[in-house]
Amino acid sequence: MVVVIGGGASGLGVAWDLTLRGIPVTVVEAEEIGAGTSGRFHGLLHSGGRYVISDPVSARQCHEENRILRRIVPTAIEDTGGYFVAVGDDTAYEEAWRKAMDQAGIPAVFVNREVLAARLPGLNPEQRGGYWVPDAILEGFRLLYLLRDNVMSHGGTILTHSRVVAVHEHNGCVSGVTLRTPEGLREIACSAVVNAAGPWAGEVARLFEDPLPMHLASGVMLLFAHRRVPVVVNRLAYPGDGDILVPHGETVILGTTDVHQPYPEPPVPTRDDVAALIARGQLLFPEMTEWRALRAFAGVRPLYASQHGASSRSVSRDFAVVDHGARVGFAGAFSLVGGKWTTFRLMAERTGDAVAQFLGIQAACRTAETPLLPSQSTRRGSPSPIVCECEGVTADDLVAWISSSPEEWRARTWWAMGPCQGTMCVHRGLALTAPSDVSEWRRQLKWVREERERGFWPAAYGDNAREFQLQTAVRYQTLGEGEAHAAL
Amino acid sequence: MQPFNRIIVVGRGPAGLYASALALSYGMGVTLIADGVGTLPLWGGHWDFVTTDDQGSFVSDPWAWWENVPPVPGAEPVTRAEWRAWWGTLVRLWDAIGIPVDDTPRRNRWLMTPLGTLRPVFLTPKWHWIQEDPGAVTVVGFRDFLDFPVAVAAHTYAQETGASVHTVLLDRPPQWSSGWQALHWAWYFDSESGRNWLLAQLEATRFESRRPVVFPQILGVDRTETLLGAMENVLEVPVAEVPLTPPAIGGFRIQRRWERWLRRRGLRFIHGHVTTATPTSVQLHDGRVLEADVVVLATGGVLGGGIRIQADGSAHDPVTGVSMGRLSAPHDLGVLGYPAGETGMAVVGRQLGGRDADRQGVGGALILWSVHRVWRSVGIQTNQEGVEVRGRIVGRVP
Ligand SMILES: Cc1cc2nc3c(=O)[nH]c(=O)nc-3n(C[C@H](O)[C@H](O)[C@H](O)COP(=O)(O)OP(=O)(O)OC[C@H]3O[C@@H](n4cnc5c(N)ncnc54)[C@H](O)[C@@H]3O)c2cc1C
Ligand SMILES: Cc1cc2nc3c(=O)[nH]c(=O)nc-3n(C[C@H](O)[C@H](O)[C@H](O)COP(=O)(O)OP(=O)(O)OC[C@H]3O[C@@H](n4cnc5c(N)ncnc54)[C@H](O)[C@@H]3O)c2cc1C
Repeated sequence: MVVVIGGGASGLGVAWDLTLRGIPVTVVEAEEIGAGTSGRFHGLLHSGGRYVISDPVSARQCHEENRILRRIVPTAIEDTGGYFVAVGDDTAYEEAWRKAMDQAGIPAVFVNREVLAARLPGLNPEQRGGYWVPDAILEGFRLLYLLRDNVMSHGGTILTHSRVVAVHEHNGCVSGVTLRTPEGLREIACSAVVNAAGPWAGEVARLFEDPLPMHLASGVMLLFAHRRVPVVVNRLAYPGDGDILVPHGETVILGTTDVHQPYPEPPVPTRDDVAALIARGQLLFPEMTEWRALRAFAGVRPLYASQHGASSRSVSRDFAVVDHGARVGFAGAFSLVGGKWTTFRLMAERTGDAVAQFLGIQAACRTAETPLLPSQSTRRGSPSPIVCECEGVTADDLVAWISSSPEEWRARTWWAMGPCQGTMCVHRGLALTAPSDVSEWRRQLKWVREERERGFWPAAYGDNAREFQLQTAVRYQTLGEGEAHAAL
Repeated sequence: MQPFNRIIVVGRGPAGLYASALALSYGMGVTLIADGVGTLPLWGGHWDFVTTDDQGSFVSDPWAWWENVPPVPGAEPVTRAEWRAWWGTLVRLWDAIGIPVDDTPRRNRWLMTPLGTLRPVFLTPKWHWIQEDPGAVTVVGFRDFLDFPVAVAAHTYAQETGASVHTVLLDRPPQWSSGWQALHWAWYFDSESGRNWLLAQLEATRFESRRPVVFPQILGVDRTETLLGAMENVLEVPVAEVPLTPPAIGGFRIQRRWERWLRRRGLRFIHGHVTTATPTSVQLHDGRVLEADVVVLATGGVLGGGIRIQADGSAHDPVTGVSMGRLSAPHDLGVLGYPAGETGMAVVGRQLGGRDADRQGVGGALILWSVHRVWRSVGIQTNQEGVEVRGRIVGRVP
């Protein structure tokens, strides 16, 4: 049995790869599926265009994987295509970029100024035209749950709220791990372990007594109401801050920043982060200050730094499969570090190759040909009252996932994720759990409110500031959620 | 002296309606301009005096609390007699409008929230369920009406008060569909078939005797009192409502009745967006400029649209250009607004800063104080006896 540490794109991808090879797996996730970077990313299925100059290896990988994923997970991809828009007068970069795209074999079709202006209302009039590329939208949570559900329906085990705190060895080989769970410590035996802990991979590698040089960099993203652009929009320039817009459903996300940090937890976005992002975004859409913001959020890039101290924009998006057996003689311990969401399947394939070889199992990778099938639809026939008006989530949609935590509930149904940020529906949704313990119920309500507020506040300007005030009024005046009320 | 004939009030939230109502009743000519409905349909319409002190504890005697405390920092404290006169004016006004209300309360009473918690409350319409001493109750919900989760409410209420709670869950009506919001329910109960359906449900359900029965606040819009009366006849106990989250039917009822009353008294109503305001004129989005003797800003602060927040955290009034400084924490949003001192503009309601009405429950008191202050500052004595026009103040452009 193989234990995979981490329930993000990398960990679930490895679990799926091994499962299809017939190797039994258990995924252990410290918190929830998607609690790490995989649930806090920009949602772009890269064509490779962004990295074709700065990181050509990664660009080619993205291009290949982009084509494979469209085939195997069409339900988690929205194939919009994307534009690279040339603004200003850096024609040298444009020239180099076009040549590099040619060499990498990534399609890029010139689109003139007029067409771009018509397709992208509000675009900076100083644009010189641009290029169409096969960018697409990747619905991260949908794909994570597809992976999770498929691993489980093939017999794999997934444990959430289980943190690996120790790795055991016997005669120089991995023999098991110790987990910390809400019920206490627990041991499971295994013959190999894969560290796919994303930004925490450096910490987990210390359990192998073989530290990994990680380069961690946070990125802040800003979510706007309304699908302001119909397709992905990139600024044609060396990768920088605030130069990509990715539409998602009825919203659009502007990203990102890139700030080196020593610790793996994502920072709480600040109002300054948001103001700086918008200032950059205005190079593409000058009226962006008037767009209705919804919330800001941040994720941490788990880059693998072979050379330390380099700026993170120049650290490769390539990935590495580290065999700790070969490096320090701890046989059966592997780490998967670096990479992108877009390349998770390839990363999993390489990891699967290494693990299968170590276990002496002859089984080729099958993920590129095996579609990930959605589990049964959760919607039932009978009419059910709407709990969350913004996202159209009904009571039945929520009840279907009632035994999951509030985080998973949100990610599965998108409840409380719309413009009102849960103002009207958080209490309605939680009430469906038929709580018997009032203080526990209050604690949950407070927890969800605070989680929402962390991203809501830095984006509380313009109409979103009004929404924030409405939420405060509803919480304190109508629902009596304030501290005084709890102390009564 | 001539009474003012050209009063412009910007905003139709509770502050704008109260300012307009007083002006009309003093014989002034009033034009009300608003670009949105204001906050009344967002809350039940119970007017708070003060619910929570600066330390976060509940206040039981608001009269005593206001004794030495200015309405907003920098203002003069208000005497008991003045507060009493103002509350009296509101009570008589509501009575005239047809909003059922008791006399001015002597102290705060308890209001049940949709989650079953209790909070202090001051002046309320009679359809609200208010208690001096929280006691036994029957709480009624409707299947699939999620704004009032009966099980949670009953459980919380019992745990907080130690009182016995009986719950009843009624079915949903045959006309129900999954998109029904509070307002659909309320219009349904205004209709003949809705009323008959509800009364039949009550007949068919066993209720514990001798305790009040509490419903979510969806018992009709225009015919609430008739329905409540009919329900009390069937149940033979008092029946009242718990105000809910938006769309809040209590505030919606009040606003409908109040605006109907204002129109009948000759209020001129303009639906429009004010782009610029001075103390004696406003410009509308369509370019029209309206001159006035006094312009009253009842534009509601951040939520109402009277204060605009920029991405960098700076705040200003978009119609006067007055700057309100810069935000640093979420709490700042609630206290933003015009200072108590002279700013040249007549400002009322939430557009005034200095106190967080949401956390302290002083919204109602601040509306009374600021509206009476404005009329007084232009020379109109707004006491119980009526109005006396002393003269005309020409404001300064800030
Ligand atoms: C701002 C930003 C934007 C991005 N945008 C894109 C994009 O548009 N397109 C794209 O392709 N890529 C993008 N990426 C990159 C991509 O999101 C990441 O490369 C990818 O999500 C990493 O996945 P992972 O599974 O390796 O890590 P994670 O998703 O972080 O998963 C690691 C998991 O391990 C768990 N864990 C940690 N320690 C332990 C332990 N001891 N025991 C058990 N579990 C543990 C964590 O809780 C976490 O859930 C972006 C990254 C960032 C930061
Ligand atoms: C959910 C909620 C619960 C509440 N609970 C209570 C409570 O329990 N007790 C209590 O006493 N109070 C309560 N309040 C009231 C609150 O505390 C405020 O006192 C009150 O909402 C402020 O009213 P207002 O008339 O000042 O502004 P608003 O009601 O916000 O009205 C502002 C008006 O100005 C108009 N406007 C703004 N700018 C322009 C422009 N440029 N041109 C034209 N029109 C413009 C808007 O369209 C609107 O009509 C509650 C409020 C809410 C939202």
